[in-house]
Amino acid sequence: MEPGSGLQRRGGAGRESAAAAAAGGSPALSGPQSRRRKQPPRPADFKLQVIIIGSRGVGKTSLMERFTDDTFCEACKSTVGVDFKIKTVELRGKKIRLQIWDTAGQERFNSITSAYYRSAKGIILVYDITKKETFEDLPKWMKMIDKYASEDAELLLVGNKLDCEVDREITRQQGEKFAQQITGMRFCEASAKDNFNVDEIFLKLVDDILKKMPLDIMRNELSNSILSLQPEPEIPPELPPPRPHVRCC
Amino acid sequence: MAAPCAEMEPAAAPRGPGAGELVCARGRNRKAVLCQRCGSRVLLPGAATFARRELFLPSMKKKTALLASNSPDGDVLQDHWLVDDMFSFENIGFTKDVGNVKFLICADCEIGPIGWHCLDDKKSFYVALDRVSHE
Repeated sequence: MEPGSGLQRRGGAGRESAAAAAAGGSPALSGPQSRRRKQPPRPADFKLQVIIIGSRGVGKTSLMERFTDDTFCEACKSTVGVDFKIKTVELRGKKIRLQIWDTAGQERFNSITSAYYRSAKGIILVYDITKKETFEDLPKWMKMIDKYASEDAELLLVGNKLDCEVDREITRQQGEKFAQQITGMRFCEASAKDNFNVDEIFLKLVDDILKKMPLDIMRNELSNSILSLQPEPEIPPELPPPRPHVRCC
Repeated sequence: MAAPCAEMEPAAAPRGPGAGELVCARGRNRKAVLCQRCGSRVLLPGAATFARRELFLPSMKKKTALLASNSPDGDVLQDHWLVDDMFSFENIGFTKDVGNVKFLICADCEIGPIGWHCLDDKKSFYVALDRVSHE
């Protein structure tokens, strides 16, 4: 995986539908299929890597999950654990595949390997509006971001658990103020439980990333060989050059 | 678990009633593949090819349902949708490693496993027909 480049314009990946879409036509089909054939499904235009970080219990995982149900038990997820997800969003007429790493269970600051940060184009930093300490932890997370993340990474601060307004300990203004101190960091509040603003979080982040993209995009391969960031990939762990102190704390 | 990633029968139509409706003449999925439980879109039509391979997938169901069934631990499943690039999926989740295997789960509601991937074969991702819906 090349450093700092989770971005690829999906083109000649060799998929039939992708190639066909690029060529502007449908794959050759025999009789009945061609009559029934609609527009071939559009492959994704871009792929981006996003990580979700924040202190224990702020609800990072809930932001990634729609709802639960009694019929099935998430035996797989609870015994084995989720590594990452691929999700698709559409924005500005583009179809974007996100590869989202949720760092739940790795809330010790130094246990999240630098590789997580390095390849992320978007970083969602979550705190719990009802727990002051999760807000007070934010500078420590910012240190990790400053140290390991790409300078290009888009940052989004999320105050979660908006459904628990009665227990609120951090005001919206406090959250906004924290984000304002950091160049390019956006802010929003959300409730994973109520599914309020959750989709908007990813859309906001992707929107910011897309706005910054140059018109001519380098074709970088996002290697499939690194599926999991455990264990540490084979890239020598070089830190990016120290970033100028535009970020707070 | 499954045998090492070498052997695979050539693609054939799935057995069972109505199976031909799912696979088009070129061996690709005619319909969109969705999560059985929450409807999350896993694959668009045409994004995968049908493949027959014996894979063991741990059970997806709750304990009370398991007691009633014959296979408490899981199922050996034959019929799968195969993609060679994880970015071909619309929405999919990956578990952490279990040996040299990752299981695929629904990206939204996280039930699973609905699929299987061996880390030794970077270009094969299987989604079991029995573990998903089609639309």
